[in-house]
Amino acid sequence: MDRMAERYISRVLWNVYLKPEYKWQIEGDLRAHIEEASQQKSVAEVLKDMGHPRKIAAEIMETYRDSYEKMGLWNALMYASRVRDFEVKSETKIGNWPLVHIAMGYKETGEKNIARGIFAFGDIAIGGMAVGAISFGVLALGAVAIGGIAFGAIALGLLLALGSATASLMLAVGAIAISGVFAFGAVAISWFAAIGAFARATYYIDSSGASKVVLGWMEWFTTDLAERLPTIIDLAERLPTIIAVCVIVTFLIFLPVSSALRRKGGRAKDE
Amino acid sequence: MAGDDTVAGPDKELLRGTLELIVLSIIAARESYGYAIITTIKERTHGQIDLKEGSLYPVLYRLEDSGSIESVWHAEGRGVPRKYYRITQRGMEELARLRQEWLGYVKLVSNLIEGSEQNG
Repeated sequence: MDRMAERYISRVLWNVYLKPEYKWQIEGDLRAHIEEASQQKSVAEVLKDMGHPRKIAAEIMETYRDSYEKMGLWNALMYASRVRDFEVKSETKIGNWPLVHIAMGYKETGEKNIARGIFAFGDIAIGGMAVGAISFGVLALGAVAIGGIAFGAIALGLLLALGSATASLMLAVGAIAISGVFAFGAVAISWFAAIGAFARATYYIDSSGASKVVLGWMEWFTTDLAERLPTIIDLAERLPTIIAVCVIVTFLIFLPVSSALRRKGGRAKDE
Repeated sequence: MAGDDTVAGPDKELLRGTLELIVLSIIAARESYGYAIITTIKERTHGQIDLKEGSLYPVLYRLEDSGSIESVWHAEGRGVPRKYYRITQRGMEELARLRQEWLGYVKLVSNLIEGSEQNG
């Protein structure tokens, strides 16, 4: 096939955010179409008549923008980053919640799109794992993140908060960290323990020194360090094996659960 | 629509809303392929509707997904294979439904317009 046509098709497909099987279908059809049309006129004329590759791709995406199943997570996220207002959710649901919900910008009614799903991505995201400018979730990532475990510029987490300004019941790590139990940060404030340039807690270490109890622990630790060193090194050597076992076990649990959910989603679709 | 190169004639949204009906009608008359469908639409509307590939193929995929049409590749001794689409029984039913819906809508709008003109 003509190189100009090949380039044209590649440019169309570059702007189509669909799973490979659908892209192959489009590629085959465009190829056949150009070859057919170029029997009547030159390839350059055919391509000119077809319009800009981005417009062709935009038209195709306009049709498929509601179909998460045809896009897949990565493509849907990539497409979301290219358009202003976008919402798509997976057909697979757990309870009333879609497995994946991506929502950016506004609805046609002017109402703000809010992503609500087991995995939620959007300007405002609420879910099991929520990623967004403002996110609420068991695991929340965002500019402002609130949840069980929160990562963000401003992070409020029940168990863990990690970011610039953080607050948590258990562990807060950040430039400013406020926590019930542990706080680490430039400014670390906690009820139980805090480490930072400026730290305040029952037990603390900061630039001005440490609380008496902590000083006692440090003394105890450093006194017998030489004797304990072989044990510590032995543990450190086994750490990669321990992590690998944990990862394998996690996958062994995750894969059957994931395929069961997919089967359930497929059945729901068939019905 | 000035400045819109997707269609030359009617409003883009109006065309989008009726595209399935148009495509099904053409395929129902005779099994056809993408390029021929575009050419047929252009010829029968005297160039008023110049449909782009980006508009047609998603409609064909959608109709195929829903079982209204089915496709088959034919080479027919030619170098370039063609993907022909033919209508199914389900497609015939869908076409009848869409046709009835469209004719009903046209009648309603016509009545409204004529009524307004008479009152005016």
